[in-house]
Amino acid sequence: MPLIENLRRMHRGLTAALRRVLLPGCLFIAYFFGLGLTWIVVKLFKSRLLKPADVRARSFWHDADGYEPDREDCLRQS
Amino acid sequence: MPANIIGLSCHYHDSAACLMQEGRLAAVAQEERFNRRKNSPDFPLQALNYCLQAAGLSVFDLDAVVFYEKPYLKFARVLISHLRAFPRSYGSFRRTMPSWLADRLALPLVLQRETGFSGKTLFIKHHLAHAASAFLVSPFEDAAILTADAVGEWATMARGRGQGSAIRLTHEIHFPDSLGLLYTAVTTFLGFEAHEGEGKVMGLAGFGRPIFLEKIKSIVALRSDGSFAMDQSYFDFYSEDRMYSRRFVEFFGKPREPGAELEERHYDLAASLQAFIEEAIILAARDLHAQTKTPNLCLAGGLFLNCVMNQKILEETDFKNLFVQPAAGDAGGALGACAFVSHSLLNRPRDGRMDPYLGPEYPVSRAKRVLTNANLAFRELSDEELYRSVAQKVVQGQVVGWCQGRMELGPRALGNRSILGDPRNPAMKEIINEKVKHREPFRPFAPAVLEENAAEYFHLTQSSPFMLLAPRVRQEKKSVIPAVTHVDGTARVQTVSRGLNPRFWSLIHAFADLTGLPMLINTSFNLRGEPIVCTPEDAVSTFQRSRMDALVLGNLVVERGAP
Repeated sequence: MPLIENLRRMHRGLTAALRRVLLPGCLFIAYFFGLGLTWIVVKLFKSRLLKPADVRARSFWHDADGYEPDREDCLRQS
Repeated sequence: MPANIIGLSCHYHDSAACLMQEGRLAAVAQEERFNRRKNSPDFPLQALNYCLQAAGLSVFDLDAVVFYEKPYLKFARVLISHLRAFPRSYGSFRRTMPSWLADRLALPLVLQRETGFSGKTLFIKHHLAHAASAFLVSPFEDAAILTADAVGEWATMARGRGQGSAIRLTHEIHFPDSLGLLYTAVTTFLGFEAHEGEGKVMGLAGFGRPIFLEKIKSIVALRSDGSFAMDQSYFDFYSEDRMYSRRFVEFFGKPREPGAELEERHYDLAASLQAFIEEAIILAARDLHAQTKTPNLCLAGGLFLNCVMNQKILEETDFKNLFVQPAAGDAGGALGACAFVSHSLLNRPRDGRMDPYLGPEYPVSRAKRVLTNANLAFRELSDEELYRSVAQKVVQGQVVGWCQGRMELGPRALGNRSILGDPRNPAMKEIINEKVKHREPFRPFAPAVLEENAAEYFHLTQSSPFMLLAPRVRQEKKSVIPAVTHVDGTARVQTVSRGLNPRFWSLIHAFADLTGLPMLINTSFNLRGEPIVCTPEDAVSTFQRSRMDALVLGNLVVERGAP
């Protein structure tokens, strides 16, 4: 079936080319418009998201949670 | 309910698959051994297929597949980290997002696509997988647990306790504060590859003086409970090839180019880093002991492949017994993931025994076919003849490739995929390097010693079956075993017991019969930059591309230059 194989090869080539062109563009938009705008908002509201650890703290250990999962918890990816 | 559980780790480095049946470890292997790409992060399809094949199962016989981290949590951390480093993080964002979107956020789909598995896929947190990999296969019923690596979801270090089949992690340190990332940052500063050169830095440290320790402490705040916070202006975890910032360079001087001459300051920086890491972990271990009061400590995470540090923990804290499983890094996450589900969720009993020899083995017919196809003449010996013959070769100063039975787990060869030499010969390190390994001259080779004789040669208070302790060599023995004594007077010891590896034990015993020394040099059977050999084909290829004197595949012996 050379015709079908050729069509498949063309489809694969086209997909790869589109991916090469579209993916960097999409990532550029996602980064500078998505993350960039979020960054501005977070900066404006001085969110703790951007703050480093307080170096004057007596300890840098955090209480841990989520380490005693049951079966339901294990089914989740978060 | 039957319990055939597969654990998987992948998509960062050191992919692996592990199978537990009814709570018993049945098979485990790293993907790099099959695809021949060192530290491979690829989906471990071949390792998974091997595990199934070893147990005579298909994917439809599996009750669950367990992944060693929570992808959505990790993705949230990655996004927030990129946000924090905006706009410097664009390169990293562009590099990492495609794999997140295609594979890492869709693991059940990837599993189905690659294997046809459509059953339950479970996810546990990264440091819980590490903790389970250490505690649940340890011999302890009650132990403190400390984990540390580069980063999991948010945690870079965690501590807690294991009792019975239950694990309770109580505290953690969060990204970007990470001893693992600190070690990797300095590794790249010293001109070595990330996730590969950390062991080299540990070897380098023995030659230096910790004169930069105070400087490191000035950029990493360390507390008496072992917790710490790094001044992030000195680090850059988003650049493509290094992990330190311009400020770090201003502070510590020019970084070393890969392959460039090593200078005294490089040795000193490695020594200072090692000293800092040891101090932090010892403080954390002491604080954990004060809380748990148990004599047993289980360690896991890539940081605990650092055998020099593990030894210090044993010597400088009140813990009496230490357990570190052989794949303490991310490959061990696969083991921990299925151990957690098998023991802690499904309540299958623990057997308290870690057998590292659970990789593939190959029939003698295949080894014969490979040797015949390669035009290599071989002799087939009985077990007793084999041990005597190989021991004699080593006594004569030969370097022998030794490939036996099931492949071992973890980055260190433990006597089933090993290159062997005579530890009495002071030139043996150079000989092995020249003939096979081509390693940096500052890296030591390890001794494999009969467990019952270990204390005669080393200041060792417990066994070290996985080569994860580095005790001091006894003063009077240093001149006896110069080839395995590092410049700082320590050795990265593997204790070999008859119960765990009877063939390797018998070989060392045969060497002792000839020389009086119950010890061999044991280094991994690979060429520089390649993973340890897996199949007879890999072993023959490595033999042919090196100047090794002899190759042993099971009971078949090949001598270089033999007709």
